[in-house]
Amino acid sequence: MFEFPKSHMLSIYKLPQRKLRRCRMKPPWMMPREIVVKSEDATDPNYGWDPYHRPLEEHIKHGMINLDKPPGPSSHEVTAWVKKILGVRRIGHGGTLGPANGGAIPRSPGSSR
Amino acid sequence: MILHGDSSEDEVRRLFEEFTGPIFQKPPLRASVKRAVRVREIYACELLEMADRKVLFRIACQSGTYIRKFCSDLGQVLGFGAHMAELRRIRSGPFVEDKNLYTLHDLLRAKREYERCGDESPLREVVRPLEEALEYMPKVYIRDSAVDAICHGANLAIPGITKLDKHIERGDTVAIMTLKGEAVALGEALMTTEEIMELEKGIAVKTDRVVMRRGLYPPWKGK
Repeated sequence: MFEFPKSHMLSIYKLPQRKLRRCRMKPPWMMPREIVVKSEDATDPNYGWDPYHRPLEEHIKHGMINLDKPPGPSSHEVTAWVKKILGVRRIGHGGTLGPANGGAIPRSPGSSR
Repeated sequence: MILHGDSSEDEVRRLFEEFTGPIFQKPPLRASVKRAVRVREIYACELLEMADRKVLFRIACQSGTYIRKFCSDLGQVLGFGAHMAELRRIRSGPFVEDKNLYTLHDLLRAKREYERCGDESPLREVVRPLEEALEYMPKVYIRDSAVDAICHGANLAIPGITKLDKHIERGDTVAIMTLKGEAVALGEALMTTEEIMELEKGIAVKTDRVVMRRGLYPPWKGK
């Protein structure tokens, strides 16, 4: 059987050091977040809702589900099932997992516009 | 991951270390993207358990990294090949396995509960407000008077901004939020935070995707 020379193969997968410096080494959720104020203003309670106090219908339209996808069905199939359960017209999913893979996928019952 | 030959735990551990950082990767034969070698970042890679040729490991990587390919690449370096046996995504940005993760059964039960008893709390527990998905995004908070214009697709100008993230760079994707904390739209920043703080007028964010529906906030009638 043909064998790859080990040291040579490594050079294919590893980037040279000078390119490494340009890369951001932190995952997005470890980036620092801080808010600065430009000018203060108040919000009118007559319009819109706090995200946690929306009426249920609005809540589902502006909602998302962190769904534990079983291994087997594809992300697309699971989306159709969620659509059926909730009875919403539009729904999307962020990030696709192959049919064999389980795990967390976000799903958002989108706006029915 | 299943190795196609015998290797020691130390050897595998050393390879994981070698593969951490930016790596070259060519998407597999059956891929939904163009098959060109591209660079993906492996943030961390950790060996959890190893039994004979079976390897259990945990990996944190940039979006768009093919783990199936990562395994076979690792096998190539080992000399005898390897393949992925099973994969479970334990985190995707703000979505983690141990916080608000529900199965389809939970969803169905919550819906039934609501239909039978009119209790909406289980359904509210499973379906989360979409703002939670934007937790790690840089945010720009805007005045009530600017909301309706953004909902109709207008770009965000500086006078509409009240608060914003400290570290916005030009070209970043930012979330436009109301002062109540509702998401209005996603957009591309055309200015850095410093510029927005200094200037008095100009377009700060180009609106790409509107999330809020129109007509929720009143249109701006002028001063």
